[in-house]
Amino acid sequence: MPHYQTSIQHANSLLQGGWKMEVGASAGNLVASGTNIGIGNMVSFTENITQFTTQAGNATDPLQGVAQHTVTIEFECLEFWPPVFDEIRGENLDTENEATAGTYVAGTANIISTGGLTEITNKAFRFTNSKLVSAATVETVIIVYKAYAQTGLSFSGKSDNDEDPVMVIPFTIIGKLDTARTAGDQLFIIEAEGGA
Amino acid sequence: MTVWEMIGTKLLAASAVTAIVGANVFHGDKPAGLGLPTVNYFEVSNGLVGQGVVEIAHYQISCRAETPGGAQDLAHAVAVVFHNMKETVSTFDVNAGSVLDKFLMKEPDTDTYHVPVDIRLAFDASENT
Repeated sequence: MPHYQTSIQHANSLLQGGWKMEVGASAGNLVASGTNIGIGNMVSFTENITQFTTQAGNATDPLQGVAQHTVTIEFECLEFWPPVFDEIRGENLDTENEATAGTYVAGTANIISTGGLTEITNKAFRFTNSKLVSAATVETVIIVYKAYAQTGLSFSGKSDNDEDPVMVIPFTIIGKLDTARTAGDQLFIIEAEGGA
Repeated sequence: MTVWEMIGTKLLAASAVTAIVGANVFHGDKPAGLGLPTVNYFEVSNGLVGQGVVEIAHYQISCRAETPGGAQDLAHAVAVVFHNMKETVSTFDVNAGSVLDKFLMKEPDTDTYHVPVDIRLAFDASENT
């Protein structure tokens, strides 16, 4: 008989596997008609709390709090799909055309070209993990209300002989406060059905 | 339901598999003297992760036929059943199934062909009872 220090407190509260990733103009738009970023995965989710302190100098600091509150999310795309790249970057930084005649390729192409514009528009992002519990799909959803692309396009070629020759396109986005929303609900929301 | 019962249920519900082997799907060894093609399967390893809450089971599903093409076709039908699996079989919730490997072998003693399909299944340990 095994003896554990403790036991699980909330059944089905362990997440397994990866995330579906979506981007949209706002949280409401995401729910209605978000764009699926496609296969790939969220790699990391990091909330950043930069603190201020009021220092007493001769006693315990009397006050601490949050000076800056952001979230950093890294994810990887496997699908080389320029229209989605443009949307992640806010749709105002690039010239993007879908299913059009290319200049440098013979056939129909999805095209993104960039350089010369300066605006990075905020987007909302949704990440959804699902697992099965008693034959029902149980979801955990993270929505970042207002985020922008921190990094540009970046990818490295693979050898033709690589065991996994698929190229990966990583992105990092920074979520910042959406001050049009109620305080306490301006950065991100996590809703977890597991265990509820 | 146990994981081996779930695998058998899933295989016997797969028309692409039963179209080849009928009901000749066995847990454990292949019965001696039985004609081909057949499927038999068994657990290779099983581990607990997530403080014992999640179970990762590896199974070998042996697909045998009298011809290499027959064994490959059967193995492909079996692989399709389990690859990227995320579904409830009867009451058993499988949260991630994947095919790890499969390859063709000739069994010289019997002059038959064998493709072991290695699969991995992740599920809550509470399912496997």
